[in-house]
Amino acid sequence: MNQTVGSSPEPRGDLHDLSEVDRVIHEPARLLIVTMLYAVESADFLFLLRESGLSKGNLSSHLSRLESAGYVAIEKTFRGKIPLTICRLTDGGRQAFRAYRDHLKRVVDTLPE
Amino acid sequence: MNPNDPTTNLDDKIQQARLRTERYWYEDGVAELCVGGLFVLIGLYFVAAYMIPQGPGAAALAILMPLLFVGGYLAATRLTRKAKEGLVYPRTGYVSYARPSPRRRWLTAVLAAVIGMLTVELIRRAPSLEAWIPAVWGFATAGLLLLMARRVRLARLSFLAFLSAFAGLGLSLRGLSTEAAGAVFYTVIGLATAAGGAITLRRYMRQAPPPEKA
Repeated sequence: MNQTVGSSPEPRGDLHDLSEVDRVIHEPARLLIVTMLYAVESADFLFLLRESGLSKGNLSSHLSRLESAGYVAIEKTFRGKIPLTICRLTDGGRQAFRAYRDHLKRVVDTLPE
Repeated sequence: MNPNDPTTNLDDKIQQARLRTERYWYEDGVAELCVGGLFVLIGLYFVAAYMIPQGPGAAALAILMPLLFVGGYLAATRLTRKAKEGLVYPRTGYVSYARPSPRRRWLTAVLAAVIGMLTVELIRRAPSLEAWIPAVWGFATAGLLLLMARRVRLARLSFLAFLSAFAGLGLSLRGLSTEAAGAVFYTVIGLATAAGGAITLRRYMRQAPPPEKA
């Protein structure tokens, strides 16, 4: 059946799945941060800054977003007189990352060649 | 593998980020410097075992061996952590890696003990096999290094693996006593590992200036 001009097309079932992807993780910079944190127990702000290539402000805002989603836990501490911001993926964050990967794979697997 | 497949690209990127993060531990050479030092210490133990004649002195040295291994391992771990805290983390950031689970650590310890006991028993039953102990050291060390090299994709670990296998096999073929072979093997591999670590650390320090200069 042809779509009526002006009406919004109905997404196919498999593509509809794509719109349900976890948008907190899906954003490229946040995906990079989550991936780096997934490989370790914790890492500090300086490490994430160097490895991600993001600016301090950008990294800070993405970490805040991940923290408010409950995916990242941030602890501010001191080593001697040097302030240290330690970030780690929460259990929920690890679970969400695995679910995100599985979800995306599932969606792409259903697409025709 | 389709390069246009977004999941392939995603997986590649995820793998690269994971690899970079895991490789970070080896990028400064500190761990190799400390492990090399530990190997040299073991080499010195074999030098002492070679020089001290059979008797109470040799028996005391044999008792010292496990203490040296455990103490040396603990000291190398502590030194690595301290050196990283002082030199590396202020420059390029702090990373804490997940420790192996207690179950895995127990399994490793049991496996090491079983292999050790089997080796001792094998040599007791067939003394001629003692000549092959250096080759076993060489191939065991090479195997571990190759596994690490494959995981973090660092060529210098592969070089050390080949050196280790070559040195172990060479010493076995030379027919040296276990003490003499141990002295040569561990000193050579220790010095090579420490030298690689020192060169890597020097390069790292040049590339990553201290925070006040960055």
